[in-house]
Amino acid sequence: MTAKLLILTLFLVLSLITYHVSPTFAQAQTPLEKAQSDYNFQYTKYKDAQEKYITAKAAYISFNTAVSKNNAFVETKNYLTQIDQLYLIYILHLVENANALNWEKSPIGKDTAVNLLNLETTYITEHKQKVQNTKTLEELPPLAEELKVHIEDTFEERTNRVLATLEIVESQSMLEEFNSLSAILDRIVVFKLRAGETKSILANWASEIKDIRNDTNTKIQEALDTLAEQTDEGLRESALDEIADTAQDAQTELKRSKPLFEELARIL
Amino acid sequence: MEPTKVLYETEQSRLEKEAVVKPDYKIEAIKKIKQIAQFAKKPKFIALGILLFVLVVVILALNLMSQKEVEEEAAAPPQTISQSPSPSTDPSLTNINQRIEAYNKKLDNMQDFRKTLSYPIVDLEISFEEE
Repeated sequence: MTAKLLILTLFLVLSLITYHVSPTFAQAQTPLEKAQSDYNFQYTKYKDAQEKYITAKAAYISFNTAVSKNNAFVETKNYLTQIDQLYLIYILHLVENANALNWEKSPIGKDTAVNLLNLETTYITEHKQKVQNTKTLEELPPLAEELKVHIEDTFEERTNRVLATLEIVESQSMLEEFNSLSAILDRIVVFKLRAGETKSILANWASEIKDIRNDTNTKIQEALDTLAEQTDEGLRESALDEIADTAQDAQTELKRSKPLFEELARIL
Repeated sequence: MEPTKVLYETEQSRLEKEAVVKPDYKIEAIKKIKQIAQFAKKPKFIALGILLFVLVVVILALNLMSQKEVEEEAAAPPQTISQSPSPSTDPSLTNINQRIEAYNKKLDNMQDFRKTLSYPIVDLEISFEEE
């Protein structure tokens, strides 16, 4: 009797937890976090499918029976499907990252990046459909080769352009935040100086802010110019590295403002 | 005369019988407690009890976590700026510490997208020829 009571209590508590946990986690995850989580999950599915494909392939090569061939077909088809799905979810992940940025003041339109990603989504969705329509094992290797060539020749370069764009927009967006906050703090500093404050940080405030602003602007403009020079739809890896390095330099400049703002906040 | 003595004896014997039939509730309660205590010593019961305790702690922890998130999102009370005879303060100067904190958080969360968003590397060399 007591055991039954305990089991019932356990069940009630578990139900309470389930009721509590689901909304808590549903509320906590942003679309970006969900996209990241989905991508991580799909990657594990890809690895699982890869293992099964390798096992089935080895069995087919060893035994060369109809059954092993059919099994190899099923696992290879699933493997290619998971690869297509992985790329699709990766593209969604890029889209969510783009959505999380502030494109308001950016001279680069969000549409360009989104259009490139849409083109890739279309291609991979079509490829996935081709894989689904296969009936024999022999049809799969050419489809794998087709996707491989597309990834190397087109997908990578389009993705590089999107990544370069995101780098620049992120730096620009942060510069806008910096300008907005420094304008507010500037008003306070002027007020304090007029009131007779003599701390040197307040007097040097304006020159520091101007320095950071100018250096950051220069770096962002450099990155923009490099991107504009690349007239192709895609971007080579070397160009991506050049643009991303410059954008990262801009971020380093902006990070100089952190101790400056913190010290000012303490004084004010 | 015998009737009174007989009545007394009958009453007494009745009372004696009741004493035998009527249970002592205190002793019964003690017996029950001893039984429960003996049952509680059993490993299954202990395991169930520990599990219950852990589940309750988890629920409380989740409650605390969700409450903490709500507190962090709630706006801080506006900071007051002391009055002075010099030019009046701008209303946008309130919550400056919050703005700096939010700015610093965004600064710390900036990414190198080449690293954090690198595309998946997959094996597309599919062939069924014996190697």
